[in-house]
Amino acid sequence: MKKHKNIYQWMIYIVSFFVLSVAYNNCGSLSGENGGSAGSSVAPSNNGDIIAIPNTKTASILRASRTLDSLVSCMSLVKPSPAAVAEFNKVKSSISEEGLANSLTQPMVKSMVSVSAVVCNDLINKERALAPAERLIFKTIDFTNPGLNKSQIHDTAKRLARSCWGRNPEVEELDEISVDIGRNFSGDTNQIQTNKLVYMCTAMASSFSTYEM
Amino acid sequence: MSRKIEKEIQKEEQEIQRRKVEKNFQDYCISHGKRPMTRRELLGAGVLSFSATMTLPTLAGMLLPLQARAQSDECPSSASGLSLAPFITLNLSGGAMLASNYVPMDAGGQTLASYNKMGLGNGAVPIDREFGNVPFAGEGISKLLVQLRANATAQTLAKTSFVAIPVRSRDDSGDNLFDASGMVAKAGLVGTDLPNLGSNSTETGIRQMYAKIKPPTPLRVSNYTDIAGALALGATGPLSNLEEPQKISLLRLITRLSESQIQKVNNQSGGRMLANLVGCATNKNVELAEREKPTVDVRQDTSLAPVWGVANNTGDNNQAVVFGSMVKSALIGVSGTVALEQGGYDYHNGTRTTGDQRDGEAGATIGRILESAALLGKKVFIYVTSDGSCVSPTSDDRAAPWSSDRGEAGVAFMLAYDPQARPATSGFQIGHFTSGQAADDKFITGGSPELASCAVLANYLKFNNRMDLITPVIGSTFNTSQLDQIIKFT
Repeated sequence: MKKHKNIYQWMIYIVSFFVLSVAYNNCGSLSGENGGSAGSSVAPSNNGDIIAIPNTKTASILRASRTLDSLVSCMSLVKPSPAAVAEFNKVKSSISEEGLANSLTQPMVKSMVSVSAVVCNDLINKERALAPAERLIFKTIDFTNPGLNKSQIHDTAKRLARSCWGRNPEVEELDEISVDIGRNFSGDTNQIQTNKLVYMCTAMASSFSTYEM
Repeated sequence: MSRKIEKEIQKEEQEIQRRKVEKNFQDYCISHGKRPMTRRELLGAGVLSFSATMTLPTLAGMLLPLQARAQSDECPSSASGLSLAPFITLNLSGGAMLASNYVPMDAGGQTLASYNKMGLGNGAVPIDREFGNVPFAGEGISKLLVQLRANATAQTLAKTSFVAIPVRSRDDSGDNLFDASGMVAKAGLVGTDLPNLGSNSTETGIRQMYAKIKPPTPLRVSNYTDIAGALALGATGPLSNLEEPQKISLLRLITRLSESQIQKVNNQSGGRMLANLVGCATNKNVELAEREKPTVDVRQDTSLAPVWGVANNTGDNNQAVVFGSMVKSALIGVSGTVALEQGGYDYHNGTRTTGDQRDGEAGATIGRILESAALLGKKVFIYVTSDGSCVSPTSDDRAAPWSSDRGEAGVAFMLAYDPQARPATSGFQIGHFTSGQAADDKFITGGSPELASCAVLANYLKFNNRMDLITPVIGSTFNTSQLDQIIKFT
């Protein structure tokens, strides 16, 4: 009797496994651009091209020719510095020419990081020389006192987000940034403060919301 | 870092997680007008983790063939590429007369009655055989062969196979579908760091259109610093003030921020593909930053520097430095496909001088690639293309000048090197020339650069012993009988 019970239990396990594998794994669409399956009524993109979904916006990213200007503009700088131009020229060949969604690559993202870092550094240098009231991004930063607290980080991140992302940051994004800075930097010197600001600004300027079109 | 700070960070992280779950819950309530109740709804709302999908294989995944799975859902992975040999394209832009170097044969495998429009005179062309039994214009006529031999040792050539593909193509045009790198990338060759390197800013990295499949956006390399910049982060500039662990953390933060931001384009055309590429790219940057950096600078490689004729003080934009470093990055697996381009091949200027010089330069580059592979003990597959070719005045003179374009006399080359031994082949020519001294466009590949490129892919896969990949990559472009005719590697 006990032996039969075990067999029934195993059968239930096997049937449950099959049902679960069918029931809980069909959430994603298997058709069209977003999935592509044999026999789908919409031809799958088998060659890396984007297939348009009717009545929807086509995802795209910043094109190479606009990258530097866009970063300079979102940092509220008037024109790129020679250092920024040099950095951009060094890496621009890896940035998408057309801004197509399917042209994004790992070197392209890395290039965005290196250009952003230089532009962020230019912004810090520019605003360091200004009175707090005249600054656009680092309004609450005390460049004479190298400490950097959470409220200063949040205020700066909000200004950067509004300028580069075109929106207010989510609470989670603010928390990600401040926690990350707390975890990766210790000590309060002028250089460390600059490093923290470059770090925060570069992370935000290189994240997807900045180069999404 | 003090224990108190660590605890605070931990607490903040838990709080972030709690808020995420709360936000997912609220979003679900707003979009569905009710609270999630069933297990399925809780999963959909992101309140429960997807443990079921993590542990069970999908039925679709088990039943659908490889080709049916969306390319857009996969990161370019080097996993299957590990078994594929480096693939290097050399494009001779302008219309090189390759058929006056390699001597094309007719349908019966015999020499043509005459080559008097091809700058080789009558049918009694002196033949010099290399790569086993492959006929080249001898007595120094083929400058490509002369320079190839000058830049690769006899031992290296003894382990190299050569196959020619007579194929007509458009003269002086960037519209020929000769680029095979997209197909090769789809087969799995993407490199550990850089998926595709090219010489100019087209979508193929050379002045050719892609056949069948668009390749990964090539990193255009016109200067060694292009590669160095793509491999290193923050070697100079403000990021150089950060410590290495801080640079890695910065890339991780960018990844996390981008992953949450990308969700909003998921429903746009191409959105899921873009979301996937952003995830792949940002995560790959973290992975690369955590690893020891490979050296691809050919000047720093004491064995390869002499092959490319470069030294420590050779400039970053020197062509040999650029090509040598691109080739090295392909041979050591840092990059996937590599496309080199040499210009100046529209050389029909009423002389043979310029053409001979350019052909020699092509031979030198091919020889250097082969020799580099030999020195590193790596396999390599080289694909040589051009756009159109040349014609000479009808003449028995084997040094007749090039007078105009003549795309119907086009030829592409494949070379494969294996450090163990010469890869076996069943022949050295796919298709043939006609008595009219032109590629026979009635043959499968003779009139179509795209089909010729597919034939190159088929031979590349055969060379790699990976014919299982041909259908997933190009479907049923060729039937079995056609494959028998176009595959020469055995």
